[in-house]
Amino acid sequence: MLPVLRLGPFTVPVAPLTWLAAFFVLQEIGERTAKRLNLPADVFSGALMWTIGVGIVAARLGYVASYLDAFIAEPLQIVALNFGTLDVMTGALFGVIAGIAYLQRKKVSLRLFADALSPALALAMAVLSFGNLLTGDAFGVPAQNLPWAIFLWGELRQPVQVYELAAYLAIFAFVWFRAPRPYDGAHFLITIALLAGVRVLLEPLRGDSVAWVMGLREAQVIALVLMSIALGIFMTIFHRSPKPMA
Amino acid sequence: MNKLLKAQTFKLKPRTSNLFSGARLYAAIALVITLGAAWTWFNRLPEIAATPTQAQPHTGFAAPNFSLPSLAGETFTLADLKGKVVLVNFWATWCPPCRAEMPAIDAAYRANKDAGFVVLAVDQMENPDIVNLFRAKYNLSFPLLLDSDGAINRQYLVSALPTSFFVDRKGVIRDMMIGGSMSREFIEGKIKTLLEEK
Repeated sequence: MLPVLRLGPFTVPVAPLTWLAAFFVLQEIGERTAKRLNLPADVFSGALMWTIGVGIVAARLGYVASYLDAFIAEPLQIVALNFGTLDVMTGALFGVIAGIAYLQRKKVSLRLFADALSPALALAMAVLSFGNLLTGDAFGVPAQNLPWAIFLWGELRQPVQVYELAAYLAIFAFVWFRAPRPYDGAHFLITIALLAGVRVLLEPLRGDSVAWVMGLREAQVIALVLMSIALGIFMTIFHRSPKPMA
Repeated sequence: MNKLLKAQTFKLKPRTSNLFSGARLYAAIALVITLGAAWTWFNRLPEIAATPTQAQPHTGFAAPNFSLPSLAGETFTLADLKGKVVLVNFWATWCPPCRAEMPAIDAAYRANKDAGFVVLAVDQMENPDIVNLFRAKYNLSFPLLLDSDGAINRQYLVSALPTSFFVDRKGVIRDMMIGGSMSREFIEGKIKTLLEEK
């Protein structure tokens, strides 16, 4: 387990480093995919930057709004960014809106951008899983008799981080090399459905699941809904797409 | 001419002869979603798992118990503080980010102690006189505990200072922060939800 890296006199937590590595992967692989799809790489990068930049600011402001009492006492702390003080949902909402607005201004198809993002998204998830393996986060349930169990947090456990890493790499390879793309946006929907499907499948092996109503696992339910929506949209667009007659 | 027009005509029509054959694909997707829903239902969490009992120094586990003397000579035991929200902060006077966050921790403690917030600042193997000078300089009001042999630092796998654990009223670690420095708003943001829980 490696929660921190020691670089001379400095101690750097690994978790934020893996987020930075994931962002780098999004940018690099995304640009390469964009070129394959004849989408200008600078437009792809611009949309990504706007999405993430506005997302971080909005996430911070959302957090400030949630804990206004604490910030009234120290208003300057609003600009003291810490990864632990972000409202992810607010950030995601406004980040996506900013990205869409940027693409519309550049007159570039949102679906094409989403396709360019897809393989990079799967690979970025793999990077985050590797980070979880290093930090011991997203740990598995105890598995005393499993030959390939890993010793973590006091006992032998399912190596869920490794399963997730392998699954995300497989999704990346599939989307990059083999996935059918009958229309713009198809790769994105396939990727989302597969990523969500992995979560549905592997969540019961995780030891840190959060219980929802009736003992249902929150992340599993959200992933199931996301997978169903992605597959539903995939089919709807597929059947409405014009196809040349044979 | 008619032949050419016919070749360029597009029609809203699903393909029927490959993997994307409408009926087969609908059936496959319906099957996947149904299996996913069944898998989700049969893998519900048992109620007994609602509160973790295994103690490990990580988010999602029960906080490992410890007893340590304070500078004032009083012994504090983490298990005795169940029902309160506890910030366990590992620190040392020689650590700059630890020194930087101490005023913020004290401000958060003074503002929230009546609501059930407790701070246990565990000093890492230093002379009590040095710690006492530090307490006086910063006018700290929360208990400073002395981990004279470093056993509790090792128990909590502290690999960098400062390291902080946010423990809820049931004794479960709900969040942790490796490195610093925490601001008052950061701390209050972390404990607000925990204090609202009963």
